[in-house]
Amino acid sequence: MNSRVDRLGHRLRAVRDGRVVVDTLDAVVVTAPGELPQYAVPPADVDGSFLRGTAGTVPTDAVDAAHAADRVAIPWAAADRWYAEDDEVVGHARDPRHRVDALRSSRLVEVRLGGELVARSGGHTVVLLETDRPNRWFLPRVDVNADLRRSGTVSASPYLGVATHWTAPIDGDRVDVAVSYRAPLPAVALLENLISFDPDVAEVAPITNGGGDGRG
Amino acid sequence: MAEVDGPGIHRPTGHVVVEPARRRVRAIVDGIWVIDSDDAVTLYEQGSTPRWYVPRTDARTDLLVATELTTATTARGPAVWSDLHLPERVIERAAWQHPDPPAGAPSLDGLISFEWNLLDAWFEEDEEIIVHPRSPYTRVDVLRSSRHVHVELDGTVVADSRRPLILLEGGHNPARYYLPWSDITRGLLEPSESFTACPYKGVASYWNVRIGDAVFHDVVWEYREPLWQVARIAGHVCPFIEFTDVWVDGVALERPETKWAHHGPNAYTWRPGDAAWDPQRDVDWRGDDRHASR
Repeated sequence: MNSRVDRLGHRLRAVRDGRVVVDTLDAVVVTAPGELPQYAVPPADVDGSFLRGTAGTVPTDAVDAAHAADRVAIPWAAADRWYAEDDEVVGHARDPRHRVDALRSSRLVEVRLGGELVARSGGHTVVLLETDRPNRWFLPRVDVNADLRRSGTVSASPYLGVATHWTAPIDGDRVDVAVSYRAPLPAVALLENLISFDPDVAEVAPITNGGGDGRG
Repeated sequence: MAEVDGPGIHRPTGHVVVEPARRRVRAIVDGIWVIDSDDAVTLYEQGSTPRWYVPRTDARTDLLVATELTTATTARGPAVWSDLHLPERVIERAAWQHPDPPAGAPSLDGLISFEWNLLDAWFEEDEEIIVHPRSPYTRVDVLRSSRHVHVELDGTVVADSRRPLILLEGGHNPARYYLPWSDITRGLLEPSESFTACPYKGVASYWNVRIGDAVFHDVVWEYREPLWQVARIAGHVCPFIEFTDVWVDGVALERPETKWAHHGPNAYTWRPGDAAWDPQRDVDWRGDDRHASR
């Protein structure tokens, strides 16, 4: 399958060692199947010595070669900081077609760790719908009856913000089981201070209950 | 890049694409929940906003009465319409099905859809959604910017700001510049009665610009109570770059070729007296893109 190329439409800057090394109004984002999106920019908008040292190339199978032509891909890790206009972008380049919706839900959510029920939460749950990712359920931490501790794992999403990871004991081992966002990005501000269990590790079951509809 | 408000190239392509909505979908009219489904699908059709279809078993089909009416669609096959019989009234042409989609189109067997505007309210999980379902492929970013945005009409300065918010929507609409009220020239803007609604941003009200005897209608808009996802744009107004002269960091913007550029700033707004206007509501979001065809 082919890559997709989208115009970014905003100013993009990258900073390395305190120095602006990319400053462009003409960036595109290249999204290849199974890979993280990547910025590609006109070489004229990149610091010369930085460019020689770090730039990659845009995949030649890009859908709209015209957009990608004459641009070089800059690996995310080559710069220390990236800015969309004056806002920092964390984690990796943003795909402009990747949407996140945080929705309040009245569904009851049950969470089991190693078969044991650790949370039964309703009333303040939020479901996160993210393009191409499974749904995630977020609950108040007070509804969780497990020995949660901060993990050493660090991650950041350009759509959600910087994640705090949590471990819990499963069969005697401490395992990463959940994430929370202390300062979620504005578009998902509802997630603040809620915690979400990884559906690959925990059993997370939303249960539809009544909503003025006479069901359940 | 083609303007497609739906699945991109990483998914099956075609004029019509159907995907699970992955959220509980409900709709209410006259106090009756006529749709309540965990198994809704979102249908994307080129040139149209997304639509929800639900299994017939998740809709109050007991209130539906089939009609003789069948209308043609190219991509989804004939639409067969039903009236909705409520205790106090009948809503004609409230729902439709596609029993016979053309070859190559996804099957819509057992699914039914309702006219958005004829029902009172729609919900994703517990959140009300206005105008039409949001596409999971339409991202909206509001970015703080320090670029210099200068706006003129007929040679008169309307706004001059060094602290715009730049709103990007869907990867295909032009960047929009939201400017703080304090950076707008005083005395030029007059309130208009027009409004529009958007499932991503909320309900917009409009402003006319008066320069001498000339009035430029609806060339500035504002989301006074934006949806919380884009809360940053509160207190800001946005000039139609299609109808004003704008410089960004001293460079003149080319007026973009959008649907508004072709149809005028009023083409997609509503005013009192319009068919969709409902004085019973202080805010009325009824009516999607008026030029959308079914």
